[in-house]
Amino acid sequence: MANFEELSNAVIAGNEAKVKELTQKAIDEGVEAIDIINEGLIPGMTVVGTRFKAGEMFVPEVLMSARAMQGGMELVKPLIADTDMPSAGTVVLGTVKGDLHDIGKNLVGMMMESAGFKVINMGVDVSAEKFVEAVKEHKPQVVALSALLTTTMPAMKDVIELLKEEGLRDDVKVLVGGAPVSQDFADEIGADGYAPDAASATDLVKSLLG
Amino acid sequence: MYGVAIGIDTGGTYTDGVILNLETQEVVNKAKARTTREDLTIGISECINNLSLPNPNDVGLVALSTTLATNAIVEGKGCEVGVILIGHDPIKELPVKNYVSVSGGHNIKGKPVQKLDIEATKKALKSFEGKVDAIAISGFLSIRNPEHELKVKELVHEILGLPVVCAHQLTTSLGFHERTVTAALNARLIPIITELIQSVKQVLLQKGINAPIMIVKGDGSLMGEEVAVEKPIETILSGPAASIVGATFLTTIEDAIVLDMGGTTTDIAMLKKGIPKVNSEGASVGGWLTRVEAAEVYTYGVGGDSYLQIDPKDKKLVIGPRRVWPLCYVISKYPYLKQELFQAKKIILDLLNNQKSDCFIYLKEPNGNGSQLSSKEREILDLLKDGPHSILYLSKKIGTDPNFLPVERLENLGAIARISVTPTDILHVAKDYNLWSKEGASLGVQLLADQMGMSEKEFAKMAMDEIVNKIALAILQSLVNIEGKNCRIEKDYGCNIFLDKVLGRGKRHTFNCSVELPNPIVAIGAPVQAYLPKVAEKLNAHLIIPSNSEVANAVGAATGKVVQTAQVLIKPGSEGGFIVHLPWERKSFMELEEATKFAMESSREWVRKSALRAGASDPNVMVEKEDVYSKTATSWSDEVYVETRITATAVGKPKWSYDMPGKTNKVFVLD
Repeated sequence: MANFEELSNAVIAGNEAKVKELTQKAIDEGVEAIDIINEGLIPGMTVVGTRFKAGEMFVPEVLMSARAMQGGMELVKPLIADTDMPSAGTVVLGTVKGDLHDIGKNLVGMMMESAGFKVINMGVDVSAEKFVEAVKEHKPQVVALSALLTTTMPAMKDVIELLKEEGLRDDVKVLVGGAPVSQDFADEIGADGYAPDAASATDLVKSLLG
Repeated sequence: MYGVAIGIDTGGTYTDGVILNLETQEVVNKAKARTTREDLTIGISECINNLSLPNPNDVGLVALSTTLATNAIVEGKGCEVGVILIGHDPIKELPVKNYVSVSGGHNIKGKPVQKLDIEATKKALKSFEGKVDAIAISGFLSIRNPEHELKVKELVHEILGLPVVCAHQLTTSLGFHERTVTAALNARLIPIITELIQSVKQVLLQKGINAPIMIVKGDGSLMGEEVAVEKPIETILSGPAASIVGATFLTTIEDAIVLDMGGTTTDIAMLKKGIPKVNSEGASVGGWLTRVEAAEVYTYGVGGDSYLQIDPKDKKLVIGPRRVWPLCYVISKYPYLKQELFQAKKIILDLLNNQKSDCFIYLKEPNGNGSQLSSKEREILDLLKDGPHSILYLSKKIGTDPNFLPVERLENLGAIARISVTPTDILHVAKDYNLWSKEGASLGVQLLADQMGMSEKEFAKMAMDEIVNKIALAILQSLVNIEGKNCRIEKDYGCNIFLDKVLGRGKRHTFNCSVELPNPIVAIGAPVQAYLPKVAEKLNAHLIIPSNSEVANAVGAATGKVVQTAQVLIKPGSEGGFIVHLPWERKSFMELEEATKFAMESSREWVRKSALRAGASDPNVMVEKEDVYSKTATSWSDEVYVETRITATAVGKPKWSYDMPGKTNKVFVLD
């Protein structure tokens, strides 16, 4: 019987080497890959999310935990057929046109992946047209937009408007976030939700799809 | 006689007409004729005949509210249309066979994505030659820059010379597909509306009337024939809109909740400054979502002929949404049914889908595909041909348990109709109504009352209460929706705690709760006198029931105003500066102040001209500006500029065939 608790703690501690070691050990013992994810890796990341939200953990620590989790996932993923991967849904994620901020958005991506979402990370400086293409290609349930500058915030509205013009707006939920973004702004541009930080973003996606 | 307007409404069943003296605000005369769906002109002509016309020279205006466009779309009628799509393939199915998509189109900022392919456009237009009667043009994001649509329009004039309309001229809303559908349907309707106007003109000329014809739009305002033949799609759903406008004219109130209770449904709409609130998402007709702004009307399945049933499970009264024939009415024509219903009283029986009070009446032999009848269905139909019968009579004659009597399909085929207890019967029992057989109504009500262990009187009182509650809830639900909330209040547990108190149906009274409606309820339709006073009392609302309310729709046509609006958007440019998106062009500016000034001035002039063209005399222009800023979560700046929205509105009374001396201003304009 694998020790899932130890694995979870390694994720919380952000110890990538330990996570990899414990994951490999579990695989060798014949533990189901799905169980390793659902009972070891994800519960660890859930704790990280909660602590981050409560201000008990900070961005660098969360990034380390997320990287540790990724390390474990990479070992387990090849063992699972694509269709069996637990997926809570697909999220297209990116920083809007004119904006090069990356870290916060990546953190959101990792947290969402940890929560079982398939995340299509489009990178930074993504035009409205690129977002629309990604929506057509990946058919996500959620489009998550990040902006860290007041000058690039209006580009979020462009994405929403272009989705409307293409007749895709009703197919996806649009989420906005980033330091200068506010609930007021999200309401103004007709977004479905606003999250002030990465952990809340994951919760928000869950509740929007729930 | 001083100067009158004729208002005509071609409804689903009847064509109503009124002669209105706008000086004295009086309905001088009213008339009805059956609507002739195959050729509306026949009904219109008959209706005008039935109005005893004054001196034809006194008629200054003829206004028409017509279901023609709506029907044509529902029935898939109209001419062949060619559609040119610019910069995008069709997103979903289009209501036309002939379409070509050429490269071009713009991005969200209104910058061209590709050059318009002139050669391909010319080729496409030539391929339409001889195949189509009208052209529609729709470009990707043309509402942010219409230059490509306008260029194609020029080419159409050069090459084909057919009627043509651009999508951006019909709507300024996002949604390439919906705009394309709107433009395509619009083009399809052009010859139909042109023909109607021509034939109505003929009818009027025969009577010596030479007044301008105005057509009612889906938002309740009017447009002259020059604009109507260009934008016929704007007439869709004008029926309810005309009723709303008419109701307010009859009361001279400008801000109100308008409620129209008919036989099948109750329609509710909100009126602000004499203009109905429009649905900004666009109206849906015949399965096509368009971007046409029609009055936002909420429809509920409760009317004078709603089916009253007792739910077999929880023994509760269910009202509608099905429509049946009132017992009192049918029994007044077939008194022998009384005997059949009286017999039913003695039989103890549990029915699932039917009521003991149900009777059926023969309408017509079913025809068409899938109308092959089973032997029992045939037997029922033959029995009913001699006259209506009760469900128990039929089941006894045929020898089938009444639960298994195959009536549903016959009803759906339109071969028979159901007769049962309706709100109209309740009113007869309660002695509020005395039109038809009170005895018949009372027999039916007794059958339902027995099932609930109530007396006839108790049941009638309970049913009255339920109908009143249902209407009150419909009003509250509409107001919730009008405020932009999506909640179904009746289905929400939390809402119900408070609603029970508001409607006075709660059992405990540890706290009380009431609502108040700041705007009056204007109620039209035959049964409102009986219910609405109680509804208004529960909602603490002021109630107005105008006289002549049965022709409110035709009155609405005659009293409508010409309204033209333009929406202008100013947005920040991607490399600084500001972009003005006008309905006819896109222009860049360095300073917001400069951009705003230009946008306000040019939209003011544009709506004024549009209103004049649509048949207004001396329109009143208002330009409203809204600078939209949003709060940010940063310490270095509190606000971020989102955009500026400018709405220019021109409102005017329709031009008359002659100038009315004196006090004209008082007459038409409601605001």
